[in-house]
Amino acid sequence: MNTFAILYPALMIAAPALFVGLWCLWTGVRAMRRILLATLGMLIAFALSAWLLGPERTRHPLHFQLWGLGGLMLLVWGFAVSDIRRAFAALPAAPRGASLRPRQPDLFPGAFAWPGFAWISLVVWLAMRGGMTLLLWIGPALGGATLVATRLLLRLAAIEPEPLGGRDAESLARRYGEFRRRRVRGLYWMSVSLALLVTAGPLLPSMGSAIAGTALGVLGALFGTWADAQRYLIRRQLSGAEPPR
Amino acid sequence: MLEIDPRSAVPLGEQVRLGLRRAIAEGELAVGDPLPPVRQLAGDLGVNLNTVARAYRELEREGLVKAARGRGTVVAALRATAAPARDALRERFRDLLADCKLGGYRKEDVKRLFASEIERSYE
Repeated sequence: MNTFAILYPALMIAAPALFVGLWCLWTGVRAMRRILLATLGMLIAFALSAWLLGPERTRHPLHFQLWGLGGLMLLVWGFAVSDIRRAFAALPAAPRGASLRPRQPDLFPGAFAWPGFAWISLVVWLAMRGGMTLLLWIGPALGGATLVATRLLLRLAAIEPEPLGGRDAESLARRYGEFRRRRVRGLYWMSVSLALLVTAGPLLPSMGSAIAGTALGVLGALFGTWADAQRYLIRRQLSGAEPPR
Repeated sequence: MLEIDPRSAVPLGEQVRLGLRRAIAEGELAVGDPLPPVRQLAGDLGVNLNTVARAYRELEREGLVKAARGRGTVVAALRATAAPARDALRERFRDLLADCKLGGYRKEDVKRLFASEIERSYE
């Protein structure tokens, strides 16, 4: 039996529980029971399906894609997201205060100049190399659009709600500031890497770009989980459920 | 910092407007200082975008803020164009004193409270 057809869906099904586990580890919240049971149920159902259909049908892309992506989506939206939202909802109501200073993405000078230059260089290289069909230009076009969208994305990331109040608004504001800096920089590096990777797609061997894309996806999921854990910890301090740092 | 109380009888938009006025009057915001973008302030306070946008428009009508190209909304002046008449101020002050008296506060406590707030505000 093809190992990929078994491993890929199994990993996809297990992924939401792994990330919720990380979230629980970072926040100290116990919210694993439901998703662990659901993951176990889904893995058993997948194993049964593979056993009943036999190796030939299990190798069919429709089978492993359906189990992989379908399982992942169901577990993420049915359990992971709702369990984390429930943990947020269980916190006491937070005060509603706001800083009167506008927030901007805190990046280094030339943060968009070098990726722009790199993108133009890649496009020129691709054009001079030749052999680019219209279809192959989709990647570079998407890369350019991603770079443009990154500016807007970072501006939105900088004004993510940061309600103030509680016992120690000053330490809370410091904590928000630190989290904002890391969040904006993390998003910046991920978006720029994605834009340049997509642009350079036609130059890379297909396996290389697939591995890089997957690695970037996993990094993104890790980053998102970390950011959500930080939001929870800050919200807990804001609600007065945790002493100020 | 601007704080609102969702349980208060004062509408949220009015609380935002009064909070910003106070920040300008007390020097937390100086002339030329940009106000936070509407989306940012609404998100932080957990209120509708229109609530904050309306408060900004009211302040603009009062001449306290103005829209500046490329900078959003900035503080325009430390004095409102239409200052309340002395009689209207006296009425509001008397209402406040009535609250203090009916709340059981002693004359000396009220005097001390008002004096410290006047000092803080006019620093």
